Amino acid sequence: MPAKMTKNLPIGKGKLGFTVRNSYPVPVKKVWDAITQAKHTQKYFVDKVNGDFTAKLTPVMWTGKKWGSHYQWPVSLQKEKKLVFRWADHSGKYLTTVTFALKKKGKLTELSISETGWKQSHLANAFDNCSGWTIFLDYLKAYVMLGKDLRTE
Amino acid sequence: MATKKNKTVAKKPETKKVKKPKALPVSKGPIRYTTSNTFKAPIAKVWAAAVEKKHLKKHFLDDMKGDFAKDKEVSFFWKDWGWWPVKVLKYAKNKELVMLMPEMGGKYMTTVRYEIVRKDGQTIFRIYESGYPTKHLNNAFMMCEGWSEFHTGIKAYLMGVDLRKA
Repeated sequence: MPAKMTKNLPIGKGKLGFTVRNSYPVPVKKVWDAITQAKHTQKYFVDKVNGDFTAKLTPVMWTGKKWGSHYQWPVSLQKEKKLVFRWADHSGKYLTTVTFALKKKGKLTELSISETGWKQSHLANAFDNCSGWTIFLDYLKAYVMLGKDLRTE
Repeated sequence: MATKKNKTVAKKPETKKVKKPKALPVSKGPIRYTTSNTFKAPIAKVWAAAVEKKHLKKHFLDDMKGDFAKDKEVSFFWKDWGWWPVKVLKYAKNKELVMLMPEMGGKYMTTVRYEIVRKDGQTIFRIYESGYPTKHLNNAFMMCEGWSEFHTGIKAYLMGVDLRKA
């Protein structure tokens, strides 16, 4: 499915947003690579990924059998610390803002994912993504810890 | 007179069971959400992992009292959060479970429903939670996160992995 060029959609200013988090007993670099590099993301969450998240802020496209293709438009990136990108909401009318934040805490690497900008009337979609990002964090765990792909179970 | 009579009737069940905590109201707030995940394993295997104590202790709970299949009330235990009483409203093996659970502030109960179906060679396990008042939207998001982890915990468990220890 070709991805729609969504870059010029308005940025969602809705007040709805959420944060999910998890922690990983591996170095920050390992988590960072797993979330920003296509070769990793494809192994545990997305069916096909075009592009890596880098300081050049070039778009990354995720393609899923279930959800089709979606561009992610990076806004800022601080290596091994923070990645902010925008992508279209379910209605394709505006962009929500997604922030990945990493922090070393003792022997653990904490990763939180926030998504903001949802319209009040799109609460159900926000919950869908809350669940989706939580699943992402868990699948990431199985991947970085054990090299397992939970999609196949 | 009528009020007094109703009060007496309402109080009775409470005094019968010594250990039973104060009955909480069932909240009918408008905030609801659904989580779901798919599994290769057959329905019976996913269902057992989701409701039986011996499985739940290996991926979700630290302990459990009662049996969903037999009891009207069971209790979940986590070391970090203590015991949580769960009222079982409906139990249809390998199909549906409806229960009332106290919300995290302990002021009211929300309704949680498990539903499990087999479609296109996959088992789909959905969890519906409803009843949060608008002011507790963030708690609903946290629970959405929690139930989503419950699904993935089961997936990992069926693969022989306890994600809590990973």
